[in-house]
Amino acid sequence: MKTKGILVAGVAVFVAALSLRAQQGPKVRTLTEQEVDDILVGASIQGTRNGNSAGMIKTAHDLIAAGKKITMIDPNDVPDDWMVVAAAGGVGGGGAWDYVTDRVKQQNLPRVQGNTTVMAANALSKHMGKTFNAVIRNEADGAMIAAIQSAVALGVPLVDACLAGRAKPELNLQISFANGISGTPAALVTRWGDVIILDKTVDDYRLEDLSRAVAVASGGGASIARNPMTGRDVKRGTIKGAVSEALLFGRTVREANAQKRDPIEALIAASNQIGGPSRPTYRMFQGTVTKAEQKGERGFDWVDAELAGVNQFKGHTYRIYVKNENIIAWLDGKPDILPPDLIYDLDPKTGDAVTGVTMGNYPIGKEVVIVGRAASPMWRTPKGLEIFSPRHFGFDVDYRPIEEIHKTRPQFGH
Amino acid sequence: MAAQRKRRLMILAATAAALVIGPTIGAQQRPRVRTLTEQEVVDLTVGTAIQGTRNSNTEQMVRQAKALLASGKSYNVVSVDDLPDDWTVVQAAGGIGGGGAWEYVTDRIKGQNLPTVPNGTVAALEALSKHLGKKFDAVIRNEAAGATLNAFQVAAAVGLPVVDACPAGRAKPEVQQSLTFVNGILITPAALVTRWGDTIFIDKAIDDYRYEDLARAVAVASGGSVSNARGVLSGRDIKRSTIHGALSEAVLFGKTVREAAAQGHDPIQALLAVSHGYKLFQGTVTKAEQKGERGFNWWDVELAGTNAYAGHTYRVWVKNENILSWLDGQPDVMAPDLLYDLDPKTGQSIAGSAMGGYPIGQDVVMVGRAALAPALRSPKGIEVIGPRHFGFDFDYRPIEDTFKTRHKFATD
Repeated sequence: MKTKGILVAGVAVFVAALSLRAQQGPKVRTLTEQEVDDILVGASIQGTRNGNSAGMIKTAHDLIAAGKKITMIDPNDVPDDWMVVAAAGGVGGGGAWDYVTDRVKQQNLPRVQGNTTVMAANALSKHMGKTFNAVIRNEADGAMIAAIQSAVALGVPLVDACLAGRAKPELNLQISFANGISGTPAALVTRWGDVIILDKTVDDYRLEDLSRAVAVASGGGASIARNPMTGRDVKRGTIKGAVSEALLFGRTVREANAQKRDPIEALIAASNQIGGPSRPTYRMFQGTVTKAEQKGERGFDWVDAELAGVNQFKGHTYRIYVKNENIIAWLDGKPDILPPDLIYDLDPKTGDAVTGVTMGNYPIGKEVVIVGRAASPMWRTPKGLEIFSPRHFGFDVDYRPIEEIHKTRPQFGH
Repeated sequence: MAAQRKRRLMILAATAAALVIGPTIGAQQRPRVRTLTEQEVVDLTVGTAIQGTRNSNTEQMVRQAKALLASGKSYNVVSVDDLPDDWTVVQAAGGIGGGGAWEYVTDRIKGQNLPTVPNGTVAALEALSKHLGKKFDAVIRNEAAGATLNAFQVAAAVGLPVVDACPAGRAKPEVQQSLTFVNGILITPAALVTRWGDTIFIDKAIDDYRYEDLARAVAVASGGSVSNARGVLSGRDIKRSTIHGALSEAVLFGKTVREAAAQGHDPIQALLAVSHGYKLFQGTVTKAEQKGERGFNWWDVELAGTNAYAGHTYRVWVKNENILSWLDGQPDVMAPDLLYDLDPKTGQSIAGSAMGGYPIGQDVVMVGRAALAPALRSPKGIEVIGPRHFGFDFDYRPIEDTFKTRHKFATD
């Protein structure tokens, strides 16, 4: 009798706790306009290529002006059974098939109205028969604002995490893949409204091949919603706190500029503070762009860039190999930063990413600071290093961590 | 007067009753399905290679067809006349393919040692059926040549008959070059399966050109080909937007050249008689330049005339299939009309060489035929497969008009 009473009480408490939880929901906070601005500047710094934070900020301000709320959730607060989607930006790049764009021009085919990334998310949701509870950005830079737009359109929060912690040229270059979480099913929508479902790919390399092919056959880009993952997978297979890091970076350079301090020094200090001694950030070079040769092919923008050193770097040459993003750098012909370590090309005056060029490019004559940073520990696992290595990009060089290279390279002082 | 009226009313009533009863019977009864004999299967295979408007490895296809029969499967055909209007039929035959595959993909996959999966087209059919939540009642080939063999392989694997019809009546390089598209029926939704087992649905392509772009891109990114199931058609669609009897025609062609050759007759002459074709040229291949790009094989071919055609030159422009030809520099036959390149000895498609190719030194007879459906000669038909579509700056001219004014040869 007595035990039965306790059992009933226990069940009642359990049910009450459940309903309380359901009523409260997970902790979601609304970002202020200043925070959003800082996040977008920071995300363009994280991008490891040129950026356009001003354009992204304008898009965000339009959303806020329209009364939209931009909300965020900590990955640790995401319920395990939530379904999260990377509906952020597209697959794109150079070398689109001319005959397609020529024909479509002749046909006068209209562009589809509306946000194609959101359409892709809805197509994926329909295909899976599941509703998405949150959006995660797949990479930094443009994917940040795209994730915000998708989250707002779907009426869900943004997860404070990232599949890569940077921008990167290929879909397979993501921490989820390194942790055995598939990027498919995925949905793509082209600018003309074609809908493609990648139901199952053998691995994320094939997701990359096939998405890229769709982009090349669709005027050089396609919007994609991919990596539908549970809250449990978000916790184990993403880089947590990536949006907060963007916020810190953006705020740091903004405050330094306002206080007439060197934004680059401030950024490096902030990055070192969160990274700790095992994840250092360095000023690697400063110079003027003397060469930036670009070609578009198979959906990518490839750039070979060279900088002539200024100030303490005078007389030295820096070379950067770009596949959409900065991948490898050489100082005076010697490998200086190797993937997956990060190469930021920043404007020394603002601390923001270099602006005003096509994807991955460098403006000739412009002064640029190269900041190098150790990759996230999640990238420095054996599988991470296998996926995102110098050899993956066709360079016959072993990966060496930036902190080791930094010990033996010439010392330039600050 | 009254009696006549009464009689007319009765006929009307009877017709109406037949209309009402007719579909009910059609839906309830299984239509007549005919199983082809082995000889018919061989003739069909030879004949569909002829229909293909390009070179062919007919011998190998015949071997594969016989192997299918030997495994206990059969070639089951349902005629268009017997096809219920409400049947759901799928084009699950042959792949999207061709040249210019991305090497970095094949290189990487070789390194990964990724296994290949068999029966991509069957997998595509099953994926599409599941995706749409629909059971298919029959298979229809999308074009001639290898797609015919593949249609029967797939149909046999899933236990369905093949409809005696074809949306193209030939092989053709691009998806949209089909009577279904000319008649406003879209090819999507479609399922694609790569050799490694990736599964893709093209849920909606704005038009068949876009399906062509997208499927071709998937092929280029997948080692140079991809299997697909697409163009779901109702029995009603098939009745209004395909070439009826395309399989029967193939059987007839194969039988005709076989019997002619056996009886010591000229197989080409026999084929011309049954196909209402034109002998265009006979000559030796002197040039066959190939490039593979964007999923296609492009050939520029020249023949030096022999016999009655000595001293004349024939040029053929190939995009996977024969598209256009020139006699002594003058445009001769152009798509949507048909150009067959045949072996003068056997009447079969020439063998050897990569898709669309011509082996240097080979003696070839060129046979032309008028487009197989009036719709292919309509403005829309000419738009999708006429000379301007392939980048040539001249108008389509029907083969029968060209033949009135072209040089007369002794064999004409």
